Amino acid sequence: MVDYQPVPSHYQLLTVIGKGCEEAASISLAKHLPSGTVVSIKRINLEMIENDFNIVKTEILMTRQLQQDNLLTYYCTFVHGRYIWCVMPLMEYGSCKDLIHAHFTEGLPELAIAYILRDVLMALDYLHTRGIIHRSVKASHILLSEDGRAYLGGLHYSHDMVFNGQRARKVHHFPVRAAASLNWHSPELLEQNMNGYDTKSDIYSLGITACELANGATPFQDLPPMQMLLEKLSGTVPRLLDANTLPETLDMEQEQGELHNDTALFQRSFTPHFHNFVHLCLQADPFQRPNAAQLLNHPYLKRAKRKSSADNLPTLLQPVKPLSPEAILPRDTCDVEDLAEKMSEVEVEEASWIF
Amino acid sequence: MMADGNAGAMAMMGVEGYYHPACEDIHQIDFLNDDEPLDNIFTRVDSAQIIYTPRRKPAKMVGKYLMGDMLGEGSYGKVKEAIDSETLCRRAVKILKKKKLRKIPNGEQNVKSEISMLKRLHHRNVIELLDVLYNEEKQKMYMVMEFCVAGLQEMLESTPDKKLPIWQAHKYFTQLIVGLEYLHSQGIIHKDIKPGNLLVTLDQVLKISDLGVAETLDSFAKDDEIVTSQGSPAFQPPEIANGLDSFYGFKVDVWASGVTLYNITTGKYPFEGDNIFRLYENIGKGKYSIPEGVSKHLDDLLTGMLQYEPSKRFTIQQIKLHDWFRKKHPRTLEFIKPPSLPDMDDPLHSMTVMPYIDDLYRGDEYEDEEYDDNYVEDIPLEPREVQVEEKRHTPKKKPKSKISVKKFSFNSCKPS
Repeated sequence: MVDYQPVPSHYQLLTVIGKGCEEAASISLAKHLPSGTVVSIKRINLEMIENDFNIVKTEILMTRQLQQDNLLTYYCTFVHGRYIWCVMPLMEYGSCKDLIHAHFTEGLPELAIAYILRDVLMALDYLHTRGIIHRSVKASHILLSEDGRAYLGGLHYSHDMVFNGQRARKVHHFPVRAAASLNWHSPELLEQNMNGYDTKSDIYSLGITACELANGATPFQDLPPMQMLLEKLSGTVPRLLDANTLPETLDMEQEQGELHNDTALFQRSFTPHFHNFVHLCLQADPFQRPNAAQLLNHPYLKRAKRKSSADNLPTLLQPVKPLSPEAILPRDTCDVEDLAEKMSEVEVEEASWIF
Repeated sequence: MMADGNAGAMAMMGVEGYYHPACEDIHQIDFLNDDEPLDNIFTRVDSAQIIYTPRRKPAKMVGKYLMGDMLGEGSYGKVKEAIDSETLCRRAVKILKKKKLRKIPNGEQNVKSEISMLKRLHHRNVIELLDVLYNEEKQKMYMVMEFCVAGLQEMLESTPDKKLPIWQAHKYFTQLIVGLEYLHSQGIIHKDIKPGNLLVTLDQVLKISDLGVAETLDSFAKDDEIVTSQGSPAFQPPEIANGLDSFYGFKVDVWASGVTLYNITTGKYPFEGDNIFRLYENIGKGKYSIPEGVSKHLDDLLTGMLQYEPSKRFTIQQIKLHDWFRKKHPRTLEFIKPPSLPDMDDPLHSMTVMPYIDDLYRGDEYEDEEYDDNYVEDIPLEPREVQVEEKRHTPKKKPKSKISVKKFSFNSCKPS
């Protein structure tokens, strides 16, 4: 195990691979000079996050305190100049949202989703037994490593139900800053009434994430927030789109010429187990929803066994290739823009597009 | 061309801002959001699972806030529930009418000073002011604040004995003292502490509110000496009842907190009077009794806070170190829940904005009502009544809801 020290000179920043936090944060590839390993480093400009300082603090404290195989860790965090540096492992496949954008615009294969959800549920089970509600489970917060393991990150909106040594049964705090995660929020969290919400809220978010991964689009995604709220509270439940759920729609829309029978969406058919899994997660009554441990025993996830090498996650994700640091490391680090372009070229293997 | 986009842990911290140059090449994703019958895309659940059932009310936007039902009414105007249309957070909006403010002594002055104070105050136990909006034309001002379910006064009034269980009173009192300590540390004397100005949120956090008559001490003032008071008579200390020219502000708040504690634990007031002169006469004498049944600790704390001589009266520090304050009180009696709004039987205190949102998105003609962030605008109400009429005669239109189903962007994904 490499020992990552909080010393800025140990890290050579290479290229920016992401931005966040309204431009206040940037994520770069970096080389850990003492060991030669490649890491990613998130740098947050402290002068630009006045309002969000507590969020950054929560994320770092939470991430540093928790340790589980499917939770994204920070090797170390430190302040350097105006920036907070968070040194973390490199996630070669990026986030699940990146995968959707990059290639799986109509959704990931069902088995791949099972692998991902199983890993996320392991992380959620760990968080929930410790009284922590994640509050922003979504594809962009699920990261994939080269070996096909999914990691849950994005702990900045998480809420610790344990206060003064006592675990509260319900939470009423509304995550105002998490406006970007509104579509994933559970109805009970959005309702903001005396009932409050608990860890089951994350299970609803996981159900939305399952639809996001399978459909390639987030339910409610082009609705104004208030209309989304109206739909959720009036009992509208999103579902997986496949040959079973779409045909009626098609009949009515055919004359518009917008839809075609031969598209992948209509040819595919998700298993009844998967439909059932999503249905269980998205039940309006949180008491009806299974918890993370119960969902881990759901038949849908039984197929996702890590040992089977033939259809492990990296194989299922082809043609998308994990980022290989070797390909970009030798390059001049000054021209960041150029590097980013090079990266995109390196990734793609066009010959093997399979649908 | 396909993008890789999958490099590293870029998804942390709001990936929404993430942009990859290669994303440009991805086919523009469109959505079938036109007249999709919802039932084919989403399963409808049985009625037991539906949280909200429609009952439309005319929508009204103030800036980015959609207004809900009335929460309360004061001399200055109304307080309404609202929802932030961007974050979906519940809010309370105090609507102030200039015409009404002019009729209240120091009305406009007090509002100005309250706003300037609240803007710089940030504490868990002090009400947060989030936004101030003006409508010049209507001569109205809107103060957008944290949403609270009830005030202590309404909670007291909802009980038969007009008092709270000791453990619950303790829970609120400790928060009052912590909030007050913060105000004093900021050089602010509240001057109107009383149950009516102490609000409670959904998760039972107490918020000191109404800083209308509060005073900010000069940064260079050598102590907390002040000369004016406009607070509620029953909560005024002897030095004010006796008409002293000047008095120490912090101790005024301590006295009022003492009367508040007396009131919420016993259901009574230490000093009463048929009119304000009698009341002040009684306070001025400083004679009061503590009812039977009050514990020794509480008796001792009340006595310390209701000391006639301000110099002998407890300081905030003394209160915080007092045994009754530090003690853990067993949860014996039933929790007094915040009462429902008048005319509404809703112990859950659910959002009241839903019927208005329904109107905004499912009302026939106004479904795409736009509003301007920069100024306040009311959506006209008159034409709507005509539509209600129309609805009966015309066949039901397709749902206005635009649930997105991803369009199948096959062009971009054909195998090569």
